[in-house]
Amino acid sequence: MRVLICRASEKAYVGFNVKEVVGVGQFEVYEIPQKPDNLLGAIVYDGRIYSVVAINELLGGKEIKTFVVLKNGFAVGVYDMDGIYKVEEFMEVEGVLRENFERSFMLNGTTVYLLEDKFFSNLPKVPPEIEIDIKRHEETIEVFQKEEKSGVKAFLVEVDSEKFVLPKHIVKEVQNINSAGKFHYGNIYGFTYFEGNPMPVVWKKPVKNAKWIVILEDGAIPCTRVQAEDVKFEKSDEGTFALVDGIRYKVYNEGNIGELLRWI
Amino acid sequence: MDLKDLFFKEFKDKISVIQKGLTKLLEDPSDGKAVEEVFRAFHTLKGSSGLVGFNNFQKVFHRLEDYLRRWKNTPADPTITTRISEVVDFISSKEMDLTEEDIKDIEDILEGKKKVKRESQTIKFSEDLKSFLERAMDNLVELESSIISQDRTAISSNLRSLKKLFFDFYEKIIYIPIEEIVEGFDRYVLMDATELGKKAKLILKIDSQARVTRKHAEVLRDSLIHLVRNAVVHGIEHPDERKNKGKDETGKVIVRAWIDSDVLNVVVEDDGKGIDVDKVVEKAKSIGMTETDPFKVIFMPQFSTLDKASSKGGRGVGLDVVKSAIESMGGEIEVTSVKGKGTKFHIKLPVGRYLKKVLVVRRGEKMFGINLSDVEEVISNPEIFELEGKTYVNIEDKNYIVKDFNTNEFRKAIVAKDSAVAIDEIIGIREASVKSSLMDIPFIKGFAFGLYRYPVPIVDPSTMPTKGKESIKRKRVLIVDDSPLTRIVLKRTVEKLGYEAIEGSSFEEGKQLIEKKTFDFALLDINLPDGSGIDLLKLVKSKDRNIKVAMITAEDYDVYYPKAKEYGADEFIQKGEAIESLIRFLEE
Repeated sequence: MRVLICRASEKAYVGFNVKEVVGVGQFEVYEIPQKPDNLLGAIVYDGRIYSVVAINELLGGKEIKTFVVLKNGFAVGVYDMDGIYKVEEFMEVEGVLRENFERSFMLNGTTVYLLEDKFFSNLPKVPPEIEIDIKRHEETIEVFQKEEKSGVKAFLVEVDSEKFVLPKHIVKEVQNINSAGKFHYGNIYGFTYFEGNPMPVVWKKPVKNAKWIVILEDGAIPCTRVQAEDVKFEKSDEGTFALVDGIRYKVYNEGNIGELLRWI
Repeated sequence: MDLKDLFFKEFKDKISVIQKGLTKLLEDPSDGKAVEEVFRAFHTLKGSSGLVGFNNFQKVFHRLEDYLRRWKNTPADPTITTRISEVVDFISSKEMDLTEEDIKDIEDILEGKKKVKRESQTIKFSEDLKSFLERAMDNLVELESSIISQDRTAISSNLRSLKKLFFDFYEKIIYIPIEEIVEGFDRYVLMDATELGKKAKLILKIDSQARVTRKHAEVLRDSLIHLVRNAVVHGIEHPDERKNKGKDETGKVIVRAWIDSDVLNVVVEDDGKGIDVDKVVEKAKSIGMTETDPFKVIFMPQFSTLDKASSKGGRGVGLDVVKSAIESMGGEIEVTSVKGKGTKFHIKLPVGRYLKKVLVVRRGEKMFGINLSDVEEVISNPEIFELEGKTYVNIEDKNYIVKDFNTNEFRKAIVAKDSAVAIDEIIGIREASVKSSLMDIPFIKGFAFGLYRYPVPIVDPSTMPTKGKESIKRKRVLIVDDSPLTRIVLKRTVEKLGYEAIEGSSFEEGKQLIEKKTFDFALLDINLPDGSGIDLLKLVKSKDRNIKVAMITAEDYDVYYPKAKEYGADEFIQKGEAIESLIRFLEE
């Protein structure tokens, strides 16, 4: 059996059959009306309500940081996750703890108690039809505002010390840098969503103070500054340039991220 | 539902009864019960078809009923049973009364003048769409009423039911169980064996979880039919021959299917004579093939082991088509065979799942996921040791090579796919929609959607970077040369030095590799069939000036060196002195 082992307290460990685990993570615990003593409240996971129980009191207190959500409709509050182990031999629990646990096993000299049907058998469940006041704690992030200039034709972007202009037609979207998850590998510094698909955030080197990401055709670039501008384009033998407030900037005309990195 | 709809509903039910009965008759021609079942079904259909005015159907059922009537007193004739079965296959897809042309075809089949092509049988979508829509509409009506009455509990409950309904239906639309795919295979085995005077039976060992996406079902079914029929026609020996070899007179064709992680495995094996590898090699040589591995040769288009033409083709005929079909679905096929013992084809097909359990973890600043089905264990404070420049962990006396994105110490290791992935912390286990990655990042096999504000990359431990001193110095070298021999020599040298070599044989291939991948070195031929290596040099240097480039050529040094130097080449190596200069270049 694969067992998810969590810490309930400094020295007390509990285990869950991985097959019974629906999810593990941090969730908002909601108050429920006429809460039974042995329930902490309820969480909502994937649209379903789960009754929250703690094992701290049984095995010594430590604060709850994460919840193990189980198929049986309960979510168990634990301190943290230790690992997943293959366990083949179990021992019968003896003494006072036998009221709640049937099986245990030893891991590195510590006893791990398995949370099974017996633990949950006497616990009341939150009725599925209960009304709970779900608050959304969506973290707000600053959204890029196009300046209301008449005839915005391009974006002046700044990536560290590089400044250049991207015509409006190749910029799919400007997102806040917090929209991207961090994952550095080669020229990739993270991933974001664009139109429901993952999009890599790409640059030649780390951009320390990036605030925005500009989405192009097949990738995004991290930018320290982005400004929507009404510009005048000039074509010459050296390429296309844009005049912004009297300053001449290089214009990148393709949508392809690989080409852009070569062009810079 | 009008009369004709009712007829076709009954028709489908009875056809299934008839096919099962005919299969029993092929196994045992004296099975009186089977004769009775099939006779009754034809008789019922004869009456029903007359009732709805399908006179041609009525004539055919009358004719078939006659055969069955004769077998009530004498054993069934296997040849006729096979032909009736073919007629049943032929008429089973009809949706109107039979035409005069159909009647003629049926006569020809019954007289053995015509055969029915069975490979293209369509997999029908069996889900009752009507029932789903009715339930969905009921749910929507209830949802609407709960919204009007502002009953939040009811809204929430109705939304959950609706979500579940759609999710279940989605799964049914997307996947089809392998058990359904192989339906009727037993009859094909018996029919082919009967026709060839052999004895064979099909054994199915299909895990109920084994399934394939509906869009791949038909291609997989056709491929499996081909392999199963091949096994009977070319693998299973005649009963006398089997008896002489000490085998059971009845040959076995076994089809096994199971899911392992996200891969569907299907094995088709027989206990027949096996592939005569010497004959395969000889035949391959005689038709000028350069490949000498018999198990590769048999999948090549030009190959056939049969010396004379046969209506069913040789063991090799069609296997190229099977291989291409499997590969077109992102899968692979392997064959193993032991002379005198049998042959085994193993198909592996990736199958996705809409919602997957993902173990979300953190290593340094990277957050990524691993499919929970790939995870064997997650161990805290594992025993770590170094061996020949690589890092390993020892878990219960077994050593696992460590895969890591970072170089610093780690606290936990995920044991997955015979590797140990170094992590700092487990963030959680979540059910997520996982989609395959189309990006050219070798170890990212997909992304988990909907967990956070951003997509979480799902990594494949088997292709992750290895931790250790060796991995730090393992650099990537691009080799572009149109001469295969030069590429082999350069590649061997590069790999001996512990670097990774990636090859291109033309300007275009080189260009694409430069665009898609990152390199530490590039070894470029100057004269390429479709462009100049000097232009590739420009591309490499414009992408990253730090990439060290050596131009490797047989061209005149004085002519090309100044040009290569002008565009930033770091070295100019002439082909005659390639190896020594190359080692010096890469090491220095």
